[in-house]
Amino acid sequence: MKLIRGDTISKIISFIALIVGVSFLLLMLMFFFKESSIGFNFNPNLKKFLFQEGWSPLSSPPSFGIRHAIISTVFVSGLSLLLAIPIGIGIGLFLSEIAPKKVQILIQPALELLAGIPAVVYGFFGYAVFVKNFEIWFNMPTGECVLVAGIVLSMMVLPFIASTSAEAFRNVPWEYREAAYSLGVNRSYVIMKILFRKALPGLFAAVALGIARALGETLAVLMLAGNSTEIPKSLLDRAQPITALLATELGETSIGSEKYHALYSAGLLLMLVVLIINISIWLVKKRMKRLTYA
Amino acid sequence: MEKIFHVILTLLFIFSSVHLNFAAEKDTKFNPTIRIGGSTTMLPIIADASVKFMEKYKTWDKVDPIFPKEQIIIYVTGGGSGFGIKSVSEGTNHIGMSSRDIKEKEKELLGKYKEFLISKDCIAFAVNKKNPLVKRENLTREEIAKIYSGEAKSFYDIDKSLPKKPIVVIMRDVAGGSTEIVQHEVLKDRSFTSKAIQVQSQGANLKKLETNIYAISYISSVVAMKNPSLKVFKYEGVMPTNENAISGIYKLTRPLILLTKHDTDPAVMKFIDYMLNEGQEIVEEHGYVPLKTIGKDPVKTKKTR
Repeated sequence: MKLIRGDTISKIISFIALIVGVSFLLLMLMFFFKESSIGFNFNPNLKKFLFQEGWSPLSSPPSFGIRHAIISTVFVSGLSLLLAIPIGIGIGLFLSEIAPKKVQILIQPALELLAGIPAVVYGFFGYAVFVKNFEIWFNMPTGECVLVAGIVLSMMVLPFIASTSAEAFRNVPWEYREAAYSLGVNRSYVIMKILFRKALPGLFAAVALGIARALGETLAVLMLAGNSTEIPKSLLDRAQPITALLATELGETSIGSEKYHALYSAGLLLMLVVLIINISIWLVKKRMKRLTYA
Repeated sequence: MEKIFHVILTLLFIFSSVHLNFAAEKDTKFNPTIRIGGSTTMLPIIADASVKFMEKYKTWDKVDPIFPKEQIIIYVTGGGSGFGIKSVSEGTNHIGMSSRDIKEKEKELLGKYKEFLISKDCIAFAVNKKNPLVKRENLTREEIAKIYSGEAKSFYDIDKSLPKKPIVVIMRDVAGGSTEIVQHEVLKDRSFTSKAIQVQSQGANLKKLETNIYAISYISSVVAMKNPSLKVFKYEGVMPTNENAISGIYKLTRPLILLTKHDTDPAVMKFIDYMLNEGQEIVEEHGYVPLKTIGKDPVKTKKTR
């Protein structure tokens, strides 16, 4: 009897904890929605805000379009994911299938350590190594650019993708491998035809984690992308992703001004994009699980 | 079950007593902590002054016997002028540091407040000593406006004898008070080029100038002149010195202001008094203009709405 009561109490406590945790997300979304110009202070020029205008808060009249920030975010995060996803999944595969135990023991903590390094250290590393050398290699007047930010960001995203995808490969039941090998197929066949298919939902989770991290990272891209409001046209152009725009401008903004609403709208946009990507990946994953384990 | 009840009851009791304590503290308790935040230009002066204030008095009763014997704690943080003003209106900081005048919209948010001019600062245009522009002593308003609006893309566009190397234009983020002065005094109707790199603090600004030989930026003249690797230009034929700032020949100056709510703690006012009197030596040590040379009554109480 006593045991059951204790059980219900712990249930209630964990339920409350869950409510508190989830309500933070909801409250934040609501707050951003309220403060943004998309929400209650509806901006009739949403299209202009998102796609047409530039960002120049000091000119008269001021304009607060975030086109350059959207394009910059797509450039920088896209580049970093392009680099990090194949390498990360490769590392994950190597870790779970190919690497001998000793190597695994060495690489796993290294990945965790890599994931734990603060963003400012990555930023500083990029500044000292890449920015300086890019000036020499590409004969640039100053080295900050999309490419530098993308490379460093990919290093930051890599450990998340690598360890999550290693987990996904490990979770494929051992019987599949045994059955396959007993039929006489080689390792590359097992990896390509069996493991990849079975691990696909987990790999999607790895990619989702990578995307969220790449979109949300602020400090390193702020230091490395150049923080200019121009629209990047090539990899060697300067850029200002949405997160960098927020970090640069929000400190100065007076509450209730047009700029304030514009910045909150940019924040809301970022949150919605991450949410949509996560939900859609979750849906795909669910569908796949049903297909693969049916 | 009973045990759990006991635990919950005790917890409730603790929480409620804490709550009661807080309610009581609000009216009577003396606050030994001063929080200051804002302009990164003023940060070194005020941080230095607050350390000296804490070392000199240590406890509040030595500042004034009416205060209790509690240790003086002063926190000084950066964040930019805009943040300094905002933090005072929101109550996160007792004192805000601003290196520009307070805007109408900010005055509305502040309500009743007091501002104290503690010094003045010149904004100077500076480059690395290896920059092609070091041949020049003077830059005109038009030339700087061309550089900052992006019309002049290379040094050749400014002066035909200079190389066709692109100019790396550095600007402070809009939170830094200097950007608005450059906009109003130098650029006027033109806007900043979108190619400009925005740096977030005076330190980052300095580092960029020190490490990039094609960069040009505007920075506090005191900081730039002290730095051996930088060259400071005359603007419209006038050197950005303190003397020229006071006499008014040099146009690109800005006030260094401390601001508080009008009904701030008496302890906070003691620190401001210190800055207006003894603290002026520290202002001078840092290379800025002390009040006596400005010759202005620093205290202005402002009331809006």
